[in-house]
Amino acid sequence: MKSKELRQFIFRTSLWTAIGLAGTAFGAEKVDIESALSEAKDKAEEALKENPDEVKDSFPYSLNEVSDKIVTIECKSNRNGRSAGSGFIGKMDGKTYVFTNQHVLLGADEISIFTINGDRILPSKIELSVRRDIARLELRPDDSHEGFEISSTPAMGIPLAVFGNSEGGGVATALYGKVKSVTSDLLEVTAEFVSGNSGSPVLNENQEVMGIASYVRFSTPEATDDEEKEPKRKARRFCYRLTNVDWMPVNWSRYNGEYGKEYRETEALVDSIFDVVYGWGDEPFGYVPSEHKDYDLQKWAKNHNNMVDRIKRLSDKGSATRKELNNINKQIQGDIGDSAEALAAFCDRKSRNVAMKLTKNNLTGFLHDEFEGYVESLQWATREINDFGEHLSEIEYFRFSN
Amino acid sequence: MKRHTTLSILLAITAYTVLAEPTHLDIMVPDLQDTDLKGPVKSVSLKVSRNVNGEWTTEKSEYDRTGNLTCYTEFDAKDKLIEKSEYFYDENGCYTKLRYRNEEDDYESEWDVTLSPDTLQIALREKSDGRIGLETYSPEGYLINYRLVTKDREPILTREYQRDEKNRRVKYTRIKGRKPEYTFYYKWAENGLIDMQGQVYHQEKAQFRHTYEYLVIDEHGNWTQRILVRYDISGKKPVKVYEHTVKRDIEYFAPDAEEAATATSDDTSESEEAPAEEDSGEA
Repeated sequence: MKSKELRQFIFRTSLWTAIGLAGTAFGAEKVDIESALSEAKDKAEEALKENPDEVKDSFPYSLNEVSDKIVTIECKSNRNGRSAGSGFIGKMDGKTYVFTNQHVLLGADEISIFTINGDRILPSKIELSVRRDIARLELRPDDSHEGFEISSTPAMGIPLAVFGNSEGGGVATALYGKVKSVTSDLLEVTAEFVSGNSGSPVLNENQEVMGIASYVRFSTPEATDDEEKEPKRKARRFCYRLTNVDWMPVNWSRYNGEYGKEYRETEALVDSIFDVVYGWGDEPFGYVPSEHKDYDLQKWAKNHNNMVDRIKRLSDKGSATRKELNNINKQIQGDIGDSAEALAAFCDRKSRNVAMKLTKNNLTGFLHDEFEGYVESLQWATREINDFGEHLSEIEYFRFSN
Repeated sequence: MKRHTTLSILLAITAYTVLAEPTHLDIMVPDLQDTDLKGPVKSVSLKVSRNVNGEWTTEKSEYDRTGNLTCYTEFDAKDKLIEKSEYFYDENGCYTKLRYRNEEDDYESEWDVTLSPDTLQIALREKSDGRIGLETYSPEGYLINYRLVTKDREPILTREYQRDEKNRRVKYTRIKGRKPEYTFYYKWAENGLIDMQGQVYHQEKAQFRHTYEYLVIDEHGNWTQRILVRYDISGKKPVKVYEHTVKRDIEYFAPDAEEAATATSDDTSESEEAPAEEDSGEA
């Protein structure tokens, strides 16, 4: 589960801290931004934790009692390797389906579905929710698996259980909590589900499914006047409801071929770009990660690291006249500016390519929103990298020591 | 002797009837009756979260045993008081004064109440600037018109209500100055809860629809959790504008001693309604 807001926040903090640090003498102590932010997030989440054990102890049934309805979904992609998610068997409209999230399935070349008990499930067809990140796979007529009923009215404050496949380890886990808020298509819950739980059923005490565990969102950090204090963020967990859903049948291999693979590749690309700029923001003169699936990004990273090597060789020179130092600074400023410009142009190109997908009218609402999010992330990265490059290219990297 | 006593009693009743002052309840039903609330409600805290943003604003209404509104307060998401309206009643239970304070604007107003039972109207006059709010009621005691004017009788705001045979609102128009701003249309479900609302903005020619989903209804038949979704239906397809998730914490009056005694002696089977909650604040 990704968080565009968290990526942007960490990136911006890293960049602007780096700009501040870049003006100091070479070799000054660096601040580990990411781990400080991560620690702050952990502290904030800890403060807001309810005690899930209270719910667990009083919950009228356990995972074992419904294990025949919980499934793990293993996906294999030739390009992106393996991933895993969760799902469940449920009844809807008089039929029985496996329910999961669309994002669990998209991009997979092979999908395997097993109940926790080890039964293999072979669905006959796939339908996607027009607006929500939900997929349902109809069980074959000869499949005798029973499914959960779907609850139509989840109430705030009621206890719940999330049974699924935490962290993609293939081992089912049980998480407990309460319904925090409800909208027409979402539940917010306190159960602390994580990646791998995508697709897990959110169950009430009557063994009815209220929703499907779908994503985690991090709230905007609270403003603080104290510069020493880390901004507080908290994780909020959302599940799509399964009532009032519009479904569209899809030819899965065609749909997945047209959109699924690009979805995964774009997701990986955006992650790679942010990894690069985190690294660059953290250490303006350090190396950036250079192994990337995208050939152009890999090429840029290698060129950038070669530039870093040149700067390091220059600093090994030891001494220089004022004129020589000015020339060296100008060269570095030019190189840094060019590198930022090249990366920004790359991000801009990619955002335009992804934006082309938004014009397709058979895209589900979920996928449309995801691509739109990637376009925004890439456009945001373009602007930030341009700004960062402009500022770095105005800084004198070498000064005379007094 | 007996005739003399009867005559005295009749005279006393007549004198009382002639001399008794009318109260606002001779014109209007108690405020609580003109809400969707059932039972002996003491207070309602309405918490609203917009678009599942995790923040909850609060509006609290407090009632006396007759059902008169005594206090209305609004708090922001950080529980900071935004505004407060206090409604005052005299020793006869008659509505006499309204005091309003807005904390954000640091503004206060005080309104004196005048009753006109003959015309089924209640007037409120603001003490400092002379604005007048005139409420007109139906013969059944339900608000059908509210006009706010300046001291020079220039219209500031008008609210017009139409009601059905059950005195429920079916239409509400808000008029700013002399121009109609918007009209709400109400559709009610069989169970007495509001099912849908339509809203038409007259100047902008925009139309909206509100749908409702009820998640929890308590033992008195009052909803305590509800979702409202607002759609813009001005164009070809409805577009969701926002959602409100709403929780109501309802406090009920405990039955008084006489009611409790009557209930105990008459009760031969299980009551359909659960007893009201204990009021820990009362002696």
